[in-house]
Amino acid sequence: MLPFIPRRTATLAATLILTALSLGCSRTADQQGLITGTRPAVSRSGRVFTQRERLGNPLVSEVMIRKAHHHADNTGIPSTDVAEFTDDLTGFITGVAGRDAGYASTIAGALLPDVLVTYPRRDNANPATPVFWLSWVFGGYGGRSLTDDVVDIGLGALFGSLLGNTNNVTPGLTTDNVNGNDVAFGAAFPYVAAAH
Amino acid sequence: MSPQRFPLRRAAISIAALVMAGAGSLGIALRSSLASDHQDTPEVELHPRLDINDVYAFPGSNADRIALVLTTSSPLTPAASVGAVFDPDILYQIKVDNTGDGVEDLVLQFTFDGAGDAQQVTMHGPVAPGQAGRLNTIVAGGPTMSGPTNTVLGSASAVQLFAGLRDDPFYIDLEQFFRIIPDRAPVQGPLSKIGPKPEASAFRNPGVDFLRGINALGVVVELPESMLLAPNAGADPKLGIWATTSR
Repeated sequence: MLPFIPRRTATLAATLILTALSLGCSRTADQQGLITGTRPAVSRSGRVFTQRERLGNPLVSEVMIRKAHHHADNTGIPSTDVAEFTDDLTGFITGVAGRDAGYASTIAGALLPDVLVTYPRRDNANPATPVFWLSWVFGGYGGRSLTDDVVDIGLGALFGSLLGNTNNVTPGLTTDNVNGNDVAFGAAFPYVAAAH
Repeated sequence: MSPQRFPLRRAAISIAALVMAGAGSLGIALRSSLASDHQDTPEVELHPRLDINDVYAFPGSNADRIALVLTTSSPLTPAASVGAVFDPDILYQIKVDNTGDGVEDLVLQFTFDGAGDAQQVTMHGPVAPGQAGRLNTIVAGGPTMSGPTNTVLGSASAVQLFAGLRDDPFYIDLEQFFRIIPDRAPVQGPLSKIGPKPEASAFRNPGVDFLRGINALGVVVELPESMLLAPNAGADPKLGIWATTSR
């Protein structure tokens, strides 16, 4: 019996390793690819975290900032946005959307720095104040509500006459014809609808 | 959500409808792409827990309160949602500039421990960051609250927190969008098969919501808006709000 003990130990060790490996694989089952797994927790005490992604306004980085600059945008900070990304925005609006330079400059000025501009007291002062994305430009609350059709607002501004500019509008690109979420949002916290 | 938003939302739709009705005819090739911010670089596409999909800020249960939402990890199909949790290795933050200089004055930090149904969320802030900008540490002092995910935590009269699996609240005809402008399609999955040449020059009607039936991981916070304002905020204070992920 004695000579078999090391072999059983080796078998046990191999089983444990294989089990650990298969558990490790199953952790990534909700994603695809080797680097996508949820990583184990490490100590956060004194740890310096490095920014990998950021988002303020919807559509700004995805639509208007050049793909080659997306990583720079994701690791960027709002205080340098005007210097870093104004040319991308105005370039898209004049070059791709074909709008005039003054209009491009106005839109870039409203979207950079790339933060959700919100005036949180305006709905206190006036309960009828407009509350949706970019409404702060004309005295509203701004922010971004779950119900906002930001795609149509964005397309309407970039390719249409949503902001009153009727020069060089592009029909067919002013709405995606999806006008609401597939399920209703909650009236109370946490507002976002339950999972499917 | 306060009811006054909905009439205004309809007004925006009416404006968009007028745009459609009044548009002339001019074809311009659209060479870029659009999702709110889903999968915008290979790095975040291949590590979806890092990917911030959308950020929202809107009035809470009354005019003195504000709700903040951060979504990540979309698109999660129902099958892929089983066991989908936040990454304990990532620091999720909502940052607030209340002085207009583009630098965060306050941060809300969210971290996660454990896996599956037992995952716990911990929230720090809103409080001044130890370090603003790209490199951040967990703020000093104890957490604002912590508790299980997929559970409403806190008090409806103070800070309320929810973190967990929800419907992805964003909606878009992403498939048609990539037919119009395929160069920004993701690097894997069904949408990566579109292109490389444009296959359409306009949206279809009716459109198809690519994110119907799709989930995301969401963090929702509601709190008194006074907690986000500068000490000397005037009658019409302005906030700049954005979210980051870091590791």
